[in-house]
Amino acid sequence: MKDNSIPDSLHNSIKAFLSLLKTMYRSMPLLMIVFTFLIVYLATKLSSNATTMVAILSAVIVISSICIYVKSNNYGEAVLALSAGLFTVYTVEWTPSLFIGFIVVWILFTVTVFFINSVRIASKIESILLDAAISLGNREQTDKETKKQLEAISNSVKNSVLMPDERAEILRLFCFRKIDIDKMQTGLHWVNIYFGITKIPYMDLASFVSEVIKNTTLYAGITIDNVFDYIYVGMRNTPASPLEYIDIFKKTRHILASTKNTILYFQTLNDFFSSGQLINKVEEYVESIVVID
Amino acid sequence: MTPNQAAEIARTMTGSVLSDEEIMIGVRKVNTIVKEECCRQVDKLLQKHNLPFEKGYFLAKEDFNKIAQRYKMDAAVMFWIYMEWLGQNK
Repeated sequence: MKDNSIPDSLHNSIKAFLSLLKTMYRSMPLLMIVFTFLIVYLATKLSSNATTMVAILSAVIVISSICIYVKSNNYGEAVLALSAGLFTVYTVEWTPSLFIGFIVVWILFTVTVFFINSVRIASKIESILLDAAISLGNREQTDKETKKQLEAISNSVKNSVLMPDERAEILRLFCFRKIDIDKMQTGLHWVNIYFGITKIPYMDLASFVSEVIKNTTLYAGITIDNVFDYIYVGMRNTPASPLEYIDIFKKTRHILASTKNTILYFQTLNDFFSSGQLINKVEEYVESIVVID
Repeated sequence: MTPNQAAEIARTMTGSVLSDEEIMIGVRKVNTIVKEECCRQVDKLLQKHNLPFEKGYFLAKEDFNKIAQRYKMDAAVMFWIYMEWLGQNK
């Protein structure tokens, strides 16, 4: 099957951008007309008078400012960097040697920062996984071997929406909760799926998944995947947001822990949302159904 | 035993008022993991009582109704899937 995800998302982004322009034109027509004239004027001026070096440097400054905006989400900081950069570009008399020097230093800085960042993330992951291995305290193998096993589990997740350090933190939580190492791959897989769909903080989801794994009794022919699949379908069909669902779970998880009736428990949570009762009645409601004398 | 006879027994044992067809549709609709968990719940309750038939019958009927109600199904459907489960597991 042909993978069209990138062209599709590009197409969607362009559509979204055009719709944004339309909306802006509808709400502020005069400002949009002035803005468009300004861009056309600058583009003509830049293309007729400036050298190729200035154009390349302007592009570098714009890309750097966009990176700053993406990272900090602060328009003021990004526009300050852009203004300072453009001011420098347009005031300096650029010669080929100056231009090469600027570009070399810029690339050197970017590559160094990239490496420092990679090393920092790698050492963070190393430290988290070592913590995890120590807390698991597996007597049959050394902590180093356990750490390697955890690394393999972390790398086994396909199409991960979680970053490597986030996956390591999730595995550490599983180790703290004493989840069986054989079940961690499935647990991580489901945190990844739930995170991709719900966008709930991944540590909350990790806690949710670990509680379900710990409190579910598996029988012949039933896998933990079947259980998570059942929970996901229920969560999707209830008239509540995933965040509300997890909040209600946090309030009533002790009932699941004491009864281990996983399916009945989640079915009851779904019924509770459908019944439209007050949130403060949830504990009473779930207890009256899930606890069987 | 024909499915209609099985449905008749399920109705008699639980006091259900569903038709044969409704019971069979109900049985088909039950999810495998729901089936596994509720059958174990019924089994646990029945074993807890552990009484001779004439004394245990009414309690068993009550147990089927109690579990069926919690899992949102009819008691006759519960009885049917429990009998199936018993055949596979014991």
